[in-house]
Amino acid sequence: MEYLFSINAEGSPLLCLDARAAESWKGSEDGAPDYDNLCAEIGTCSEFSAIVRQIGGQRSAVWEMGGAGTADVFLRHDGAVVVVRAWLAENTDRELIKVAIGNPDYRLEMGTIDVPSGILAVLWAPESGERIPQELDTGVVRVPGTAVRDSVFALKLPNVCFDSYDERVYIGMSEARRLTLIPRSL
Amino acid sequence: MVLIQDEANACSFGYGRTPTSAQRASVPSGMEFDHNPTLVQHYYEGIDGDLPGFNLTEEERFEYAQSLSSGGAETSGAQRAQGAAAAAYSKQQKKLWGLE
Repeated sequence: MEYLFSINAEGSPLLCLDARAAESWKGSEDGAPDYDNLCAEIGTCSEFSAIVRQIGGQRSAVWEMGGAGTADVFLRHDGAVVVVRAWLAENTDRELIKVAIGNPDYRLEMGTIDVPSGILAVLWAPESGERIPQELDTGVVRVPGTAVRDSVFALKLPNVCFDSYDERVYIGMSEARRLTLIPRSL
Repeated sequence: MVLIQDEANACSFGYGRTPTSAQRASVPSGMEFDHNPTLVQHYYEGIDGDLPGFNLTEEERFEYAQSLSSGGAETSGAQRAQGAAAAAYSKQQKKLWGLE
C-alpha cells in the first residue's frame, strides 16, 4: 500500500470526483451556493455518512470525515484508493497503516463513481474545484490557492470507474472511517 | 519563533493528526470533538491573548491541538456550517497577510 497524501478539513465532507466534473464545483468560494446546497441535501439525513450524487454530470462520492481534521490517502496494490480518517491510540505511522489495511468491521456499498478523465479530484467540499488541473504528468499534485492548505488534490489513475464503500475499522483503541474506491472491471 | 508568517499553512498542517482518540472519546456518541476556536483561527489569532499558532513551535501546536481543553462536543451539522465559515476566514486571513 502506497501513501499518497494527507488532506485537511475544518469540518464538512470530502468530495471524490472526476477532475473535469470538479471544474463546475464552486464550493462556498466567493459566496457560491454549491456547498450550501449540498449541506441542505445531506442535512435531511439523520446521520449522514456518505452518498454518491451527481456533480458536474458525473457520479461522485460525498463522504463525511467525522469532524474537522486530517485524512490520509493511500493507493492499494490492486488499484483501490483508500481515504482514511483515523483516531489513533498512538499517533504513529504503524498504527495508521493498521487501520488503513485492516478488514472493515462495517461496510456500506455507496455506489459507482465515474472518473472518465482519468484524474480523480479529492477535495474539502467548501473549496472550489476550478483550479484542479485537467492534465497530469505525475501521480499526485496538491492544488494551490486553496482556502486551507492541503485541502485539494488531483490524482492520476489508470481506471475510470470505481465502486465506492463507506467503511469502519476498529483495532484495539484505534478506529477509522474509510472511503474505499475499488476499480471496476469494465 | 516565527514573527510574521510567510506561508498560509493553517488548519491541521503543523498541528498533527487530531482530534485524537482520547479527544473523540471525551464527547458523547454521535457528536464530534471540535476545536474551539478552530485550528485555522488559532493559527492566525491564538486564544485568550496567547501567541497565535504561527508564533508557536510545532511541538507547542501539537500539544495545544491534542489537549482536551482545546475544544468540545459539536454536532455534524454545526461542523458543516463551520466548514464554510472556516474557509472564508482562511481566505480573508490570507488576503490580510498578503499570502495570495
